[in-house]
Amino acid sequence: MTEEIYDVIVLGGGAGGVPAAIRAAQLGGKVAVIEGRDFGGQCMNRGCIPFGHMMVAANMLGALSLGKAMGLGFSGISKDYAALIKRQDGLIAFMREGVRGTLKKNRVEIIEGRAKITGKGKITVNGKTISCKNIILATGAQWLPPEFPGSDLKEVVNSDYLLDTETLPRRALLFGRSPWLIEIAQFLHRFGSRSILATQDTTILSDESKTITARLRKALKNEGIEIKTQAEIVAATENKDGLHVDLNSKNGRETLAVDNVITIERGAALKDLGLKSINLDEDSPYLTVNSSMETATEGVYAIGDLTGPQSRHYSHLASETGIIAAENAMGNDASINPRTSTRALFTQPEVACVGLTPKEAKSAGYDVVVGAAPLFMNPYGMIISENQGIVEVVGEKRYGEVLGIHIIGRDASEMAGQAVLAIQMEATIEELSRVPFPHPTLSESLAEAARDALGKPIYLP
Amino acid sequence: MEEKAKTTRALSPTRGIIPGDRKKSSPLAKAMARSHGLNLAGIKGTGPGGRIVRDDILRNLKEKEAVAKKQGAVPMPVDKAFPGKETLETIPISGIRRAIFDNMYMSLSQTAQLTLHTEACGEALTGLRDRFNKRLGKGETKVSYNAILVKIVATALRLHPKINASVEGDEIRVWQQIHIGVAMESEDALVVPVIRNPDLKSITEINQELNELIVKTRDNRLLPDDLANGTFTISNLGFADIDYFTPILRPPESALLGVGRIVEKPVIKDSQIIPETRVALSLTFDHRIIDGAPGARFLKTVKEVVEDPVLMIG
Repeated sequence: MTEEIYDVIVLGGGAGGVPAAIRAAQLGGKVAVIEGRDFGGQCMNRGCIPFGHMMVAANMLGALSLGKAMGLGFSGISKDYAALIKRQDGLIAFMREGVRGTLKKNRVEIIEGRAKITGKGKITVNGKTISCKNIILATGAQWLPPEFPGSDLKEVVNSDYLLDTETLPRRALLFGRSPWLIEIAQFLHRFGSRSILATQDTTILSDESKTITARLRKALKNEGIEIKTQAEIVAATENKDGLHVDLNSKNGRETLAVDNVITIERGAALKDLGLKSINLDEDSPYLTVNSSMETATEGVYAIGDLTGPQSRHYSHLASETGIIAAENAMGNDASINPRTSTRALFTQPEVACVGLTPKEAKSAGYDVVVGAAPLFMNPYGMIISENQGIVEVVGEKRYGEVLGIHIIGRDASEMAGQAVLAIQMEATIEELSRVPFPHPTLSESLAEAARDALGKPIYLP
Repeated sequence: MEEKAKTTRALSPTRGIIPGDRKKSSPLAKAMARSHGLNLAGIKGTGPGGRIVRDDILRNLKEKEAVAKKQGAVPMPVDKAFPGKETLETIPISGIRRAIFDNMYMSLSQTAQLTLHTEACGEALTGLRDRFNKRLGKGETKVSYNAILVKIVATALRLHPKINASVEGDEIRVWQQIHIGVAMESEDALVVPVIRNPDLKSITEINQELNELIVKTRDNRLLPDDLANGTFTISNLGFADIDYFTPILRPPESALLGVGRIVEKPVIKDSQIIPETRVALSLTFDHRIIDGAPGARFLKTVKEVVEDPVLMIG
């Protein structure tokens, strides 16, 4: 019997690997996906989905004040964390099964086990070697240990801890640059904990537009979440009432008593895959790929979290790059659109950013024009008391290209969907300014911000 | 929907003579093409379904730059560049001029053009025109040679349908309708307003429409619709005593008839040298899709109908 050769083998069944495998199979390939843990990966099992679920709960608590202002009465509000986790575990189990079902329906072979590449087109899994024409690396990211004196203490944890615990920490220090920490800080705060958010940078979300970060910071502070910037942990020590963290920040040096330090540091999961056998460097922070998602080794593609720093770890990017890699592995010619990068934060107010910030656009050499429409001037924004929100449109003057759209406010991530569509379709500012968005919706502010960029806002004072 | 938006927004005739406007393209690509005076018809779209996107325009601009560099067209400082010459006037290549500039260059660089020349006896043509004009009342506009020629060419196109075609992507489209543009000089540029379906109209009707277009051209009132979607063009340089010339195609059209002056010349008939009215005809066509022989046969038909316009009845 001659050995069957796979067209594509995908290593990793997460947010990137699954669509990659399905797309390759749709294009007529014989495809297998190898997963060593849970299908759905970090996103579905320990990331976007559970924390998205938790943020929905947190946002409901945040909406109560509006309800009260509207004359609704609430009493005896309970916060049963165990019930919340139970619901989301059920949801995740259901989704995980859905992934398996979708893979099967598309005739993708599912292999469970740890894969190791042993040479060009050779992969060993469960003691058996299989051959393939193309490999798509989709193993995602893994935890990196934080590095400060005391970081090995059991109270120093990452986000996984919250999914396994039955009681939330009463006091938590969230330390690091990851935007995800901001969500967790708000969640814990709304579930009754004291949240202290500390970042090494001069502000939270330091890569985003100032318009957005300033408003988010103000909103979080007004809510009672403490924020420390330019922070570093000098040391953490165990004490009878928990941890004592010696923290240096812009505010000076202080000692914080907390139950947990939560950090989120993740890097590309490149180890133990046998990358050396195909001339790829497993010690680099992440893999370099071209716009077709191909690595330096022909026939080997890498997608998602493997291909960039933590600030580029997004499920939608993994999915997009997975599909591109699959199409190219099957002989098509697809490439990534670098202009549609989307970032979303499910805090309240929500934050969603697409494309270039004003600063990035300027340093890229564009003749930049910026327009903004605050949501408190938007009729629906007034109805829901959306006082902190704003839509910011960044464009360039020469052709009127829309370079970036930055939103803070309720449903920002949904509005970002319209924003990324506009950028992907290459709408000009003029075009965006003429979209008849339904009324009354927050989306109307997308058109108004575009009109503001053109110097002809209609509803702004 | 797209077409509608265009007529309401842009009234500049330049847009009308950019035939590629009907190609699928992103709003940004359109804005970029407009800014650089590019013709979208000559640009390959790499977006979904062949849509022209930003990167396609950038690629095109880069290619153009490379070509310009190769040809040594790198701008040099004025004093060094033109020794012994002083600039009397600098005319920017922009607007309509830019569109013509790019269209003409694109036409010659992206098609395989061949021109055939022949001469026809013009006696019947002048005779027909005289008969029309003798019947006119006072103040009525005279029938022009161009009006008759539009009808003659329409007749010939019906007999040779494959000349009435365009290259669209990887396909040759043979058009059902015949729309013939007639090149005219406006104040600052060449414009080619189009007579729609002349095969279905009488010479008098064609003449009337042509006159309206001439007035519109003179008054700068042409609308994009007057200029768009021609399938064939006639260029008549007889007014300048030109006989033969090699007209340049207007993509995506694939053929164009150049008409020279109508003039008395000595011809030999039955071993006798006699004077006869002659008219020079030059046909340029895209040799990529029209072979030499069919091109020649079409021109022969034009010649035959010029010499015996009664054939138009058939």
